[in-house]
Amino acid sequence: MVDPSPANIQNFTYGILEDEYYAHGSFEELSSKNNAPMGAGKLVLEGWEPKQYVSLVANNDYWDAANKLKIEGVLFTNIEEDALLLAALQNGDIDFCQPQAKAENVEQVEAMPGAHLVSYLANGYTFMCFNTTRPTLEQKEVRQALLYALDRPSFLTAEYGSDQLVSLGMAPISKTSWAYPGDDALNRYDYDLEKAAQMLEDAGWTDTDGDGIRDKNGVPLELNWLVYHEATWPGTLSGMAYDSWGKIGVKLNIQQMDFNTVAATTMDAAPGEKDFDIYTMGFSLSIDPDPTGGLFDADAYSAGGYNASGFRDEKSQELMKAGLTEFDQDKRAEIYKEWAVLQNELVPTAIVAYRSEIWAVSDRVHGLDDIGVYTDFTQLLQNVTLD
Amino acid sequence: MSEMMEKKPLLEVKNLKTYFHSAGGLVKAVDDVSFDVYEGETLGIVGESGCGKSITCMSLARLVECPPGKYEGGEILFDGQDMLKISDAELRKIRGNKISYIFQEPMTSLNPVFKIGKQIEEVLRVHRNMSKEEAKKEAIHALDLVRIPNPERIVNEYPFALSGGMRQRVMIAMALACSPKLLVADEPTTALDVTIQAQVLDLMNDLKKEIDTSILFITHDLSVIAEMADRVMVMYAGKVVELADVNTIFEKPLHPYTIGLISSRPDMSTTSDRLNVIPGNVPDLSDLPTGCAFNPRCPYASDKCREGISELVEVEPNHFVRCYYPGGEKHDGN
Amino acid sequence: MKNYIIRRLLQIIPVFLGILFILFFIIDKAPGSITSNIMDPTMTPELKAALQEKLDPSLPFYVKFFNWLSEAMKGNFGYSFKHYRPVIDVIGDNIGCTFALSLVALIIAMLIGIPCGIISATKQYSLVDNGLTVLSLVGLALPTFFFGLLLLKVLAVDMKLFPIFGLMNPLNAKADFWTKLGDQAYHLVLPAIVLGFAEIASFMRYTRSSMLEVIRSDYIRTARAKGLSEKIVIYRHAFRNAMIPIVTLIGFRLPGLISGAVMTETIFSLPGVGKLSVEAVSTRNYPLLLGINAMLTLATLFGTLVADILYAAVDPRIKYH
Repeated sequence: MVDPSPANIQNFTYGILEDEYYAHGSFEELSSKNNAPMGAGKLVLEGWEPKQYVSLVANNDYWDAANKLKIEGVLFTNIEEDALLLAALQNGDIDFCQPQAKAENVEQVEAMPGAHLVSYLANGYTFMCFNTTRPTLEQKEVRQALLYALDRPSFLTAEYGSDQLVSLGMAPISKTSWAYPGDDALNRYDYDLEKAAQMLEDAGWTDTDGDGIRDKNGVPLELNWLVYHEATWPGTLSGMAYDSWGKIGVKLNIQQMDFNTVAATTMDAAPGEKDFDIYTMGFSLSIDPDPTGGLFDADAYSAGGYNASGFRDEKSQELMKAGLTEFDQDKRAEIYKEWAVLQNELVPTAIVAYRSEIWAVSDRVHGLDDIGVYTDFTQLLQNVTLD
Repeated sequence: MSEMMEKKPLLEVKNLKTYFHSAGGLVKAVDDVSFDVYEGETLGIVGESGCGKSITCMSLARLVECPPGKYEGGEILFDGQDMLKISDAELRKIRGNKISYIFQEPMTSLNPVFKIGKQIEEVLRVHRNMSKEEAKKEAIHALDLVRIPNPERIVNEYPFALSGGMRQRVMIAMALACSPKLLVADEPTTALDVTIQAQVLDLMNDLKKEIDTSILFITHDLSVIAEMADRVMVMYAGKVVELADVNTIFEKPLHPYTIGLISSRPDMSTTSDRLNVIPGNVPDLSDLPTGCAFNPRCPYASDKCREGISELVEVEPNHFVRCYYPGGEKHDGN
Repeated sequence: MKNYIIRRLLQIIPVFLGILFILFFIIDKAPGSITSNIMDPTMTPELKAALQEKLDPSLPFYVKFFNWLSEAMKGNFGYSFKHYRPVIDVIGDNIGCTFALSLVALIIAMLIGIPCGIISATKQYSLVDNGLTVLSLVGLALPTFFFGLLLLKVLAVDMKLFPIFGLMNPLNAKADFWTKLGDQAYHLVLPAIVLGFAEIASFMRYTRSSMLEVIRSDYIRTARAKGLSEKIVIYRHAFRNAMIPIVTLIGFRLPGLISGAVMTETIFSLPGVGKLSVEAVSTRNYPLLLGINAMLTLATLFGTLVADILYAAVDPRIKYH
């Protein structure tokens, strides 16, 4: 058993299970139960084919007869190609789907007769992590200067199309969370090349040898950024940085690799062997804002740990511990807001953007419009009706 | 020799022209060739490579590849029909049945993936409408006729199991299976060893008598002609230059080309160290000299020869020559 | 011939083991680890390390190989963490679809490609020949992705003649065998066309060049001189010889029947081995990767043996000892 904490509630990931059914002697035995789950809920597993579909039907023997499902069942079909999701919706093959949050998908759904769009800000962010153990990045002024020299709003427009779907990231608390300090409390790091250049000068980084790259104590301000190709935004952002940072005397090397190699180099490697200066990735959060064990926890700086930046700030660690033991929600909120503002200033890892998610729903379905960041469609099925 | 006068012509070729149209120009491979073949005789066709003898024979059953070849004119009268004008269906009834062929390369003339028996039976079933069993029996009989040992076993073999000589015998068996009136043999022994060659020629002569077929025998080898032919036709650059019975050709050749051919044969009795040769080379058919094609190499050529060419003239009974100076009279003037 | 086959089968064993060894080596030494794709914030580093050790123990390489091999020979190819099922089940789920799709595509390609090749050869340089050549080059050059989406847009989305995705309509899951089979066949029409189209081109070109060579042969001239109809000359005498190289080609295509086609399977949302194997690489799913590759290796080795046997079967000149 663990220490009492308001964060413990998120450890309850399973429902109540029957002891006899799930008792097992080996891992293989337990995993075979994946093919034959025990169900006692409103929906029962009727049939499934791997990579094709899963069919659930309403449970007629549900114990609470008054609250049975109003529809017959739910069929999940696998469609691999994002472009075909909306075609299938238009054709009537599917009733709702979650296409990629791109401007063209938004347009297509809004133009589609017989379907409507539901969108909301998601619970997560994309980030840019600095390896603060390196002499180039250990000063907070340098990190801040790099942010001032990056035109993130332009990047967001270029990458995502509409700003309906994305907003500028500032602090490692989700914008939708009760622990968010509010936009006014945070520094947006508005694009200002001159300010950035000045900050670098003041921090001691000047171009002593005239090669166009700033240096200090014989170390040039040269950075390696690990970029994976499975998503397009790291490439777009690093490309912009290459240009604008070049203007203030910072040399950027973009290293292309696949996602797993980035993860292995940054997080799996042992401290001291993490060979990178910058990497970008996404992160999704749980309902509870507790950041323990995540990107910002100095104790998570290890081989396989999530914190690859190697940054340690005692005040930050203190605030995290305090948040774990405070049961009063309002007081807890204050603790996390303070923590967020602190992180926004120190930026060992900068938050790039908060993204939205979109759902396309057929007009014959009623009751799914409340899908939101904390409301999964599974919770809404109870009240769904069809024409 | 006089027997020949009573026999009817089996095949009459009149003014046959087979030309080839290619990017390099027009090649008159067969240029106004006329001759007859009588029943029961062997007509030998002699000439160097490229003289048109093969194309002449292929033309008889329209086997020339058209394009690039084309039958530009003339008639080929066989069995009351003009071979150049009959339909494809009619033509197929004659090929392998009334007119059969054997070719030069026995190693590649048989289909490598079908059994020997099947290839012979094919001819019999198409033309004689035999059943499978009948055809098989007949095929074995045909192999026996060409003196192949163990025909019952050979019938089930593939061509690669046989030697060149054996394969040529199979070709002969296949060609004679339907007792054709005319057998066209295009250099059938050129690719064989000398001893095998003798056996095959011997076989052909015997079979000719048994089946009573005429043979059109093409070769560039004069000794084979001497052995096989009743009459001989000499061709040069697509034209017939001399036509006579075999003895006359050897004893009294009249065309300068024939004279050169006959005298160039190695003669044991001669005392000279060197062989007689005809100076010069066979002309390129797409770029012939004006007048008589032989004139650059002819010791008796005059201006007349460079301007025009003679008709095929019967200078003595049954002896035809296409030359202004038959016998090679030396003359003055240019 | 029987001795030859037995000998070849015996030879397959050491070759197979050798390839597996090299495969295992490469996968083991590649960057990234089996757990680097697991992004679970609640998993502590200690737990992650423990999982890493369990799935990919830090034993000497040859020990690991031997362990894997001995389990594999019993039919246990390990467990796919991502799919929560044994590897052998995961492959089994996907191979039926891939095999059916590839087989249909191959048959389409042969039924159209070979006759077109014959026609092309017999009418060399004609309009028909040039037209078919152009068409076959288009088929080779056209990217699967583009062609598939094009067909989907026109025939499935706009004209509604074919389904947009999947192997079967899930509502037919409880139907009888023949309805299910018919439905699956209906879903495979478009993917088979896409996949088969490029293959048509290759069969056509091979047949054409093989026929052109054969038609010039002396024995074809003999066949014509025998008085056989042109149809028999071409389709019996010529084609029978020309198909010898083509038959061996088919043998080499056999492994392709189970290797899958990533693009086609993705576009049409088919549960196939192609996409499975690509995902296995990017997610570092080592047990699955080894299982799939072992199966492919075996298929290739058998495929070459089948090609050699077929070659001997159609060409009487070939004899094995």
